Order: sequence, then C-alpha cells, then structure tokens
Amino acid sequence: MDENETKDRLRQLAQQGGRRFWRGLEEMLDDGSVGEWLAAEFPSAFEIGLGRRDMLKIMAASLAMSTLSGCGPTAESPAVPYVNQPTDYVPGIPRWFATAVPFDGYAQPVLAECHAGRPTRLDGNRQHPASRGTISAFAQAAVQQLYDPDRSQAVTYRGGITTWNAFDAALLDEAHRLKKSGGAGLRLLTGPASSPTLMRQIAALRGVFPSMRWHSYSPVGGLRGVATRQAFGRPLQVMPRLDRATVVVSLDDDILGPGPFQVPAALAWSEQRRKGQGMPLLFVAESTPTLTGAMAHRRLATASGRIPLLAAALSGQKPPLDPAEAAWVQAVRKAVEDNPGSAVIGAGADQAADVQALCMALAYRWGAPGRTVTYTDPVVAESDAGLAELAADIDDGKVGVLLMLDVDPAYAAPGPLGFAEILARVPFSVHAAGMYDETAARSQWHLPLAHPLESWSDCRAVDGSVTILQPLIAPLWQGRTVHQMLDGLLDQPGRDALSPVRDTWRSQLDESAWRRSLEDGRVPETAFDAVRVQPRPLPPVAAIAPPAGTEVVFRPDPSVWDGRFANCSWLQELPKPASKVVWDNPVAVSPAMGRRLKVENGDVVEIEVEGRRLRGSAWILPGQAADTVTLYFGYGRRRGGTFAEGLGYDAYQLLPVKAAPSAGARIKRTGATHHLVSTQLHHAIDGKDLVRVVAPGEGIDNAAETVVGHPDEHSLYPRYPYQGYAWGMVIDNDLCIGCNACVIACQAENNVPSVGKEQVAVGREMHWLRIDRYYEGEPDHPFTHFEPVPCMHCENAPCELGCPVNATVHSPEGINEMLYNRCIGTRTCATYCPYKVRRFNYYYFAREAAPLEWAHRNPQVTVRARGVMEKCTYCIQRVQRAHIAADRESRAISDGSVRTACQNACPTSAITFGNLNDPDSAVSRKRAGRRNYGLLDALNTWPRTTYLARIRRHGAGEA
Amino acid sequence: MNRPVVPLDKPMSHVGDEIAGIPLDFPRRRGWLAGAGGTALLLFGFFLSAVVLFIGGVGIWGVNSPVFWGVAIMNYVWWVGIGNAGTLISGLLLLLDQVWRNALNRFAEAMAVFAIICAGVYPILHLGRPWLFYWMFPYPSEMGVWPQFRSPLTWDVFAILIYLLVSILFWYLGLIPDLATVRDRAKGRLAQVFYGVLALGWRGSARHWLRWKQAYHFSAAIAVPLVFSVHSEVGMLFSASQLAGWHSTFFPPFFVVGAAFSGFGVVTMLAIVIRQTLHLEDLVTDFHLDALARITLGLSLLMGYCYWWDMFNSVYSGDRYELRAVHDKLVGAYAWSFWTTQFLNVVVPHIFWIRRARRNLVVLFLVGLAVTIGMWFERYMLVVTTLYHGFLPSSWNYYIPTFWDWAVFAGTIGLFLFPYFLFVRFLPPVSIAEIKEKILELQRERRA
Repeated sequence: MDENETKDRLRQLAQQGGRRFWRGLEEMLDDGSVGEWLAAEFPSAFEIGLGRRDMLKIMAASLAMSTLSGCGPTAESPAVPYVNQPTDYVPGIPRWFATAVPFDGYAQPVLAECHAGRPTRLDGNRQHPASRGTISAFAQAAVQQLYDPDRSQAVTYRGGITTWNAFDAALLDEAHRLKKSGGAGLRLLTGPASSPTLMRQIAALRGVFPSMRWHSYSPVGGLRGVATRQAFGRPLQVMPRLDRATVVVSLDDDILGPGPFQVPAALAWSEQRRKGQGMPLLFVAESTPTLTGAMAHRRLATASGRIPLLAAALSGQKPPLDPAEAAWVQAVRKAVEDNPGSAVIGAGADQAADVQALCMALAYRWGAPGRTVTYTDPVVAESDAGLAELAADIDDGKVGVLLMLDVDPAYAAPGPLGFAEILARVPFSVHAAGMYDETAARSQWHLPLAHPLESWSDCRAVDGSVTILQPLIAPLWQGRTVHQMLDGLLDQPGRDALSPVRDTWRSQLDESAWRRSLEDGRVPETAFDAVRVQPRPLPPVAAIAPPAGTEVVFRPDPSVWDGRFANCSWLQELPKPASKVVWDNPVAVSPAMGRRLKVENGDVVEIEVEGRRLRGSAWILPGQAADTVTLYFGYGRRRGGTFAEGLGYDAYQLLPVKAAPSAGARIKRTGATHHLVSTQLHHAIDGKDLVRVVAPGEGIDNAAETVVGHPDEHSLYPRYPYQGYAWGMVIDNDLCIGCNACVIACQAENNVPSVGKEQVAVGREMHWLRIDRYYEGEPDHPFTHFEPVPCMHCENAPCELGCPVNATVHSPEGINEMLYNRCIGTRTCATYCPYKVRRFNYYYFAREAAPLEWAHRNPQVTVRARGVMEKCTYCIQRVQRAHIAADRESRAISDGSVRTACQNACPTSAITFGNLNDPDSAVSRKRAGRRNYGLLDALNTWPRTTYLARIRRHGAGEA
Repeated sequence: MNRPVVPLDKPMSHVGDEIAGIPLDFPRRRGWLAGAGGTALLLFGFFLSAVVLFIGGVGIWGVNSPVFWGVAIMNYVWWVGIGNAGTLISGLLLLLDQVWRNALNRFAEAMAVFAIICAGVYPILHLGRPWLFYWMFPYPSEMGVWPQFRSPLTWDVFAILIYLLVSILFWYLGLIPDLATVRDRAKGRLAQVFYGVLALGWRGSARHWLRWKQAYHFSAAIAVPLVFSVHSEVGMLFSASQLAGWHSTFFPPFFVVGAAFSGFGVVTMLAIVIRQTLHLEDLVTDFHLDALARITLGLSLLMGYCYWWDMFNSVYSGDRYELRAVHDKLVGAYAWSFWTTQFLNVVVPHIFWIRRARRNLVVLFLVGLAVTIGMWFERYMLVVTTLYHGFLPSSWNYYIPTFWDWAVFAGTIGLFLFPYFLFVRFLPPVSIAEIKEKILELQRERRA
C-alpha cells in the first residue's frame, strides 16, 4: 500500500465512521471496515485479545505508523536478535528443511538451506528417488521468486487494494448463494495438480456444490491422457525407463529437456550412460533442436507434421518418406531388431493423440512392459474439463463464480480463445497467484498466493510419492495458500494454512509419522505401484498428407517455461541451451529457411497462422527442420513484473486451441531488426580438441580426433609439493546434457549477480560457470556438444602471472584463489586467461538488486563490489566448512564430503570434485581414466579441471 | 651536410636574443591564447570525464569480456611510445654527438615528459578501483603484502615512474643554463625572480659548466637505456600472456621501434609548428626537417618489416590459433585497423624517397600526422584483434568504445597540449647554450 492509498483509506474511514468517529476510538473499532483493515495490517492485536487500554495504545501507534506500511516488510519487521535462542540453533550454521516446489503439478523435492530463519538456497533431496540430491534450474529459482519484490502484495478488488476480510465476506456471500443452487455456475480453474489435499478439498466442494466443475489448463502437456486411453483404455502415466532400455526412440519428444520430468529422466539416462558404453542408443527425430536431440546417436531433423509418417513407418506401414527419413527409420528398425525386448519409443506431447497412442503401443511391443517402460496411474489428477470448455461456458453465460488458482489464463490461453476478453463476463472472478499478472488485472478479485516456500501443502512427485510442503518463512505479503482459499468456500474462512493439509493426512499419519514425513521430505509408501496394462488394437495411422509449406511448432521456453519464471532474473539471464539467447525469445528458423528468406539473426519476421499475425526476431538454429518455425512461450508479457514485461513476443497469440503443429503458416521478413542478445555468438566448432569424442573403451591417445598437445608440463619454477589436499574437478562430457542446473546452482551459491540484457549485450555477464556449446558437421544436421566451463584452477595459471598486486594466488591446496579486497581491477588476469572464465564487476552489479533480494544471498560468500574481478572458487566456502568439521574431529576430509554447488545440482552427476592427492578419490580415479583431457592443455596451463571425452559408438545408428 | 645546421653567419648573441626573447616577449600572443584556451578546454574535458569515470565506474567504457582492455590500454601504449622519440633525440643523439639534435632536443624532450604523464594516467584510470593504484608500488605495507614481481604490470609501473623521473630531470638539467640566460635578460621583477629561482643560482662559472656537462651527459646515459627498457616492458605486457597474436618474444623490440616511429611523427609535427609560428627557420633548418623525414622513412621500413615478420612468425609456427590471429588481422572484424595501420605507417612514409617531399612542410606535417594516427590504429589492432577472438568460441565478442572512451582520449590530448603550450610560452623552447656551444666549436674548427 503506498502512502496515497493509505491516506485515501483514512479519509474513507472518516467518511464511513461519520460523526461517530469523533466519539471515541473504541467505537471506531466496532465499525467493520476499520476492524478489517486493522486486522489485516496488525493481525496479532486481534488474535491475542487485548484489553481496552492496550488497544488504545496500539490504535494510537498503528494510526501513527500506518503510513509506514508502504515501506515493505523490511520496515515492518526490524531485525531483532533472539531473546531466547532456539535450541540447537547456532548463528552462522544453516539449517536444512525438506520440502518441495511444485512444477506443473509435480513435486520437485528440495532441501532448503535456511539462515537465521530465511531460506537462501535450494538443493535436491538426497533421500527422494525423483531427486537423489540433484535439482533443476527451475526448482532452484523458486528461492529467487520468493524474494521477488514484484510479487503480489495485497488483495485487490477491481484493481483497488482491499483486505482479506473483505474477500472472505464476499466469498461467504457467494458461497451462500451457490449452496442454494447446488453450485451451478461455480468453476474452479487450476494448473495441473496432484496435491492430495487439493483433491480432498475438491471432493469436499463437490459434496457441497454438486454442480461445480473443475477445469485445469497448462499450455504444455498436451494430449497424453487421451492417448493413453486410446492405447490402453485408461488414463496412465507412461514412463520410458532410460536406465534399462538399450534403444530409445524419440519422435519430437524432448525426454531430457526442461520440464518436471527432466531430473528423473536425466538420473535414469545417466545411470545407464555412466557404464561407459555410450548406451542407451538414442534415436531422435525432431523438428527443433532439443537437449534430447543433442544427446542422440542419430538425429533426424524433420517437420513436426511428418512425425506421424515416421510413426506409421516404424509400425510397419509404408507412408511416403524422403530418403533421409527412410534411412533413419531403417536405422531405428535395425537397432530395435538387434536389441529385442529392449527398446522404447515415445512421441511428443503435442503430437496428435493417435500418434502418441501408436508409439505407446509400439513401446509395449518393442520393449518389456514393466521393465523398459512402466505404467502407473496418472500422477496429475484429471480434471473435469479444460480451458476451451470453460471459455465456451463463459460465453454461454454458464459461469457465475470462477476461482482461478495459480494460473494465468489471460496470458497463457491460446490466442483464438480470447480468454482475456471473455473473462470480464464472469460475474464473480477470483484470481489467486504469486504475481499481479494479466489475469489479475482482468479479474474482480486478485489474491496474493503464498509462495510454496511459505506454504503448507502437499504434492506428488513423478513417481507418485507425496511430499508435504512446509513453510520455511512466514508469508512475506500475507499471502494464503490455495487450500486456505478453498477453505473459504467450505465454511472455514481464515483458517490457518496447516490445518487443511494436516486434515488430509490425519488418518494416515500419526504425529510421529507426520514429523518423519516432514523431515524426510517424503511420505512413505505413497509412490504409485506399476500397473499391468493390456494394449488395445489400434487402427493404423490415417493416411496423413504430409504438411505443405511452413509449419509452426510451439515450445515452452527453456529458461522461463510458459512465462511463470519470466520475472526471475536468474532464469532470464540463463542462456538457452541451443541459441544461448538471454532475456528474449527468438523465432527459431532453420539455416535453409534463413537463406531462403535472406534472414539473419535478429531480423524481425512476421508469422501468420490462420489469419493471426505475430512479429518476432529470427534466430537461425542449426539442426532446425527446414520448414519448421519454432515459437517459444513465456515472453511478450504485458504484466507480471519488471523483468517480465516488454520482452520478446507472445507466442500464445498464435497457439491453436487444439494443441497441434500448425501447418500452412506464412513467414516473411519485415525489414526491421531487433537485437537479440546471445552469450555465444559463434556456431563454429573451433578444433576438435576443445570437445573430444571417443568410441566406447577407447582413450584419448588413440582417438582419431586427438590433436597434438603437450602432455609434459614445463615450468621454470620448481613444482609445489602438495602435502595435504590438492583439489581438482573432472567433468564428464559424456554425461552432460546441457540442462543449465549447474549454472543456476553456482549463481545461487556464490551470489553471482544478474546484470540485465543491456550488460549481457555488451558482454558483461557474470556467470562463473557457463556451458559452451559446439556444433560439429553441417549446419543443417549438426551434432551438438555441451561443455560446462568453470575456472580450470590451472596449476601454471596465466592469471596469477599477470596480477600486479597478488590478488589472485594459488592456495596451498591448489585452488586458484581470488582475493576480492586486494583486487584493484587491472583486468590483466582476465585478459591473460585463455578460458575467459573470469568475470569483472564493471558496475556495482550486486547493489542493483532490490534490498528484498539480498535475503537469498549466501551469507558465507562475499558480495563483490564494483571494480573487482571474480570467478569460480571451487566453492571454497564449502571446502572450508569441510575443513572445520574435519579439524574438529582431527580427521582428514573424507572423499565426497566436499561437494561443489554445480556438482550437487547436476542431475547426471557429470561433475566430480575431490582431492587429487588421494589416488583413491573418485576424482583421481576419473582423472586417471583414458578419456581424461585438459581443455587447451597445449598451453601448458596444467588445468585442475579436466574433462572426460564424450563417447560415441562408431557406426551406431547406421543402417 | 653541405649546409651548416647552426647559424654560423650571425653573431653569437643572435641565438640568445632569438630564443630568450620568446618567453620574455612572446611573438604570437593571440594565437597562443587561442591555442592554450582550446587545449585548456580539452584539459577540462579530461578532468570531467575522469570524474564521471570515477563516479560511474569503468563500466561506462566499452570494455567487456573478453576485451577486458580497451582504449585506455591502447592510449597508454600510444602515449608512452610518443615519449620515446624525445628521449632518443635528446639523449641518444647527444651521446652520439650529433650536432643537429641541438635545435630539436628541448621541445622533443618536453614532448616526452608530457606524453609520459599522459601515458601514466591511463593505467590508473583503467583500474576498476583506481583509488587503490598505490598498491602497485613496493612499499612496506602493514599487511606485509608486496607487489607481484612476476607481473609485467609491476615492472611497467617501475619503468614508467623511472622514465618519467629521469626524463624530467634530464629536461630540467638541460634547461638550467638557458633559464639563467632568460633571467639575465628579463626586465620585469617577476620574470627575474621566476627564472632566477628556476635557474638555481647559475652563474656560468667554468666549474658550473663542468659539473653541468657531467650531470647532463650522465643523465643522458641513464635515459637512453630506459627508452629501450620501457618499451620492451610495454611489449612484455602483451607477450607475457598466452594469447595468439601477443605471445611472442618478438614484441619488445617491435614495441621499441613502434614507439620511436610514433614519437618521430609527433616531433616532426611539433618542429614544423614551432618553427613556423616562432620563426625559428634559422635554427630549425631544412636540414633538420630532412633528417626527421629520413628517420621517419627508415623507421617506417623497420615497422613494415616488424609487421610482416610478426605475421610470418605466426604462420611459420603453424599453430592454429596463431594462424587465426593472422587471419583476423587480415580479414577479421577489425581488419580495418590493420589495413589503416599498414597504409598510414608503411605506405605513406614512402613519399620521403622524394627529396622535395622531405623539404615540403605540408607533406612533412601530414606524414607526421599519418604516422601518429597510424600508430594509434596499430595499438587498436594489437589490443582488440587478439582479445575479441580468444581460444574458446564461446567467449568471442566484439568491442565498441563508448563516448566516454573517446572523451578521456580527447581529454588526454588536452593534458598533453595544454602544458606544452605553457612550455612554449614560458620556457626557452630551443636550447640556447647547446647551440651556442656548437657554434663556438664549429667556428673554432673553421678558424683552425
């Protein structure tokens, strides 16, 4: 509430109170509106039931201080040291709590690091099979969203600020009315949901309002449910087992790509991949480059509209295929025949249901159901209907009360639905979300939703097991949980957040089991059991005419997904894996189309689909199918925060109501240009010794790709004898899928600032760890390689030579250290660094963050000022922590007890860190392996970070 | 050498009258005021842009990653190079007993001093935290931290400081007898005191002359090796890195030659302007200009050799990155800086094969200007071409200087020219004593 609004409110109060106002302040409390307002502003005063005199004092103080309420939570809650320090709490030592961050209905299990009562960082939950300690970039960003200063901070009614009590009263009225009509006209709109408490509440709502309908909507996800019904006669969740299948076929299905399934899929994939045989054999046919395609043995770039033909061909039909497709199909069939009972196949979620169903049937036939592919009940519950039905009902005037919980349909609905416009026709529309977004602006009521890290809730992970979400901090903006809001309809308005969740589990979990579930981050025995299925006979895929002309496919943005992360600067500045574009969504076009349209990166193109037009900046993406244009969601936002607004284009404008690739699109150059900012401007693979590839069992020495290096290390100086530890890191390029989890983990752990689009455009991004992308081969069909590049901590470091003031020196444990307070900013170290991993604070980037965002900074890492150099430290604060722990017990640091942030997050465990002085440490053993090589080791830098070459089966995937 | 390089046909007092008359009764007051005023504005611009820089941070420049060094380092190298010729003319040619140097040494030496000052401010402006520049000096800090003695930057600091001190000392030593001359001729009390204080009680006794001569030659002997060490050191700044295009043992001599070349370019321009505006045609004769032109031509040939030898080295190494560095120089994004350099530094001076061009003031001035600008482009080429294409393609990026980069550059031109205007106005711009000495010597020779 800003100051003016407060004044308005006081004026309003005066008017409402009329003459009574002057009779006494106590009486004024009887006036409902004042009471509401005070209850909302100072809830404690009401709860503890003070006496009259106390109340007067508080009244006087609160009226005086009401103007302060505009100053945000920092002003309202001054830092006060504990009077009674909680037991076991040691200042400076973080505490960890298990909880989860929901993402598209699936729980992402996390452990939250809390310092002095505030969560600062998220790790994966080691005890949870869907995480095993690893975590995606999206889940980690939750902590930044928590402290987002743009979060919705107040209940609003028709755009004006009001109170929760006002809403509760209004909802109560509506509930009374609805009860009489049996809930006719009551609609609930949510995203995909798996929360048992939400399910219980919806069931309870149905009891009270039998005619209520529950709609759910997500712009991604598509027709999986319909497809499983076609294939098996029931809704199912189909999980290809990447850890068991030897042949994996993906038809435009980004198995390893971002999304709720990424971490479990990557865990499984790496499990098999780690055996060093370059397995599973991955065949990918896709329209647009994905992480899965980058990992493929054989990748085919083909239009999304031709995927049905490929599916038909794989099932034995004879559709017309072009030679490249025929060869690919031939290769897949051969691999499947060579590996009987061990192949899986999946089609992308936006493919037609019959194509997906056919692939499910093929997977059943090719593999060993239950082993290479498992079936469970769907984790995300099926709702009554989708968004299109809701829109139709609103159009027909059938919707009286619409509750939109944590969704943004006014932004993310398909453009042709015109949802933003028809929303105004709903007589009573309520929107609850973390941000004041497009839907909030068009709803009557907007309610601030508590962040998952502030909430009591529950959610199912990919395997169905439940995690209870527990709050790690009191809601910063008095937000309520979804469950509290539904409580309001169930005659329990204003109940605390815990009760609805505890109610759900009361019968199943007694107090000790409840506590254990909270501690473990997982309710035992809630994972779904695999079910046996019987495939139904499927009709052959209808003879689909191959699409003519240009097609448009829609993809969630790899960094901001469907737009929900758009106000998160970490994710905005996270280079997208293929294009490395930041702070923008490009229109991906193929090199061939680029040549045809004479379009270069950044040229604005206009795309027309069924009469709807959209303009965006083109980006030539090697590996894109020739006639496919990819549009990414998540940008072009009109509301939703400072960072979110005004970037890129809004792909939803063209999204068809029925999710399917749009064929027959038109694309043309407009002549305008818009500068797209990318952190890697060049596609060239510059020498094969930067990313090396070997055959299974081969080493670097006899690999054909090896370029002559100088393995012998020369120096004029005597070698430093490392007595104790000599830290080192090995990164297995064979396991890296380029998912960016490590980049965000590093940023979160090390207080790395985001610098904004303009600064990245100049070339001043601050990431300590970046993922380099290399292409190999023809631009139309390249192989893609990813290589994470942190500091190499060179033993013979060029940077250390350059610094005139000893600000970067080598530690007695081999770490190339950066002494921020000694640095004067000559930038010689960065100039001399051959890897260019050093980052310079050209401005005081750290201070540009809003004060609220300071809350998620790691107190164990210095925040760097203007004019100093910084870079990867191997998470030296973690090394020191391990030192302290070990020294107290007079023992050596055990192998694996120091885990860097990037290592911890990596879903494929591609990163190993440890003591190179110990020949038995994991890192030493990896370094001793034959695939080990140093990046640019010919420069005689003796890097401590080394790489393991990627494994490619020669001849694999050849027909 | 058929014509005398010192005015033998005029009375001895003529030289003193002519030169000492300049500070005492300046002939071109209006022009001077205009010039000094203009350069004072530039100097003000320098302070302004320095303040903006200190407040805003080095981010207001175009430097980025990977081009962490930008215009500041180029200008540093460029300015320090300009200083080179001054010391060479006054020190080396003194020791080699070149008679003709006496007409040039004073203003060339002044040029060196001011150019070194300009060079010296850049490494400080360039710092991320410039207020801590003194950490580069080896002083016994209470933390017991010393500079890092392996760093070429540390040695750069020493080299520049010593060079500046020795240059000032050498320049001032040479000035002392002339200051006494001006003092003796001054009419006003103020001028008498001013020059009297500066002349340090010079009485012109034989003992004075003996001591002076010893000190003067001695400091020349110190200054001359510094010419080579400073520029070698600057070259090391680049070659100590591993970057392709920089990592070459050839850089130290390359930089010494380049420095001399740019310095002679500036000396030529200054000589012409001073000669024409102050009517010193009898002291700065055609012979001098011809000598400058010949040296410029010679250095240009040497520069051409350096450029192509440097590239041959890269090509001969066969190293992929070195080859790419050559490729980038020739056709890369910043190839214009290479070809501008080639044209201005290697092609243009060939006009000096023509005798008439060597005596034509306009041609001489333009070639001096071309060389000065060409050397700036060379610095640009050297710094940016190597940095923008590093080893890993992910770190490639372009470099575009901003307004404030240019503002500081323009400012340092003021920082150079404004003191130079003061020098020309208030100090004898040509050495009286040394010219007289030569006249005496030559007259004695003739008589003998």
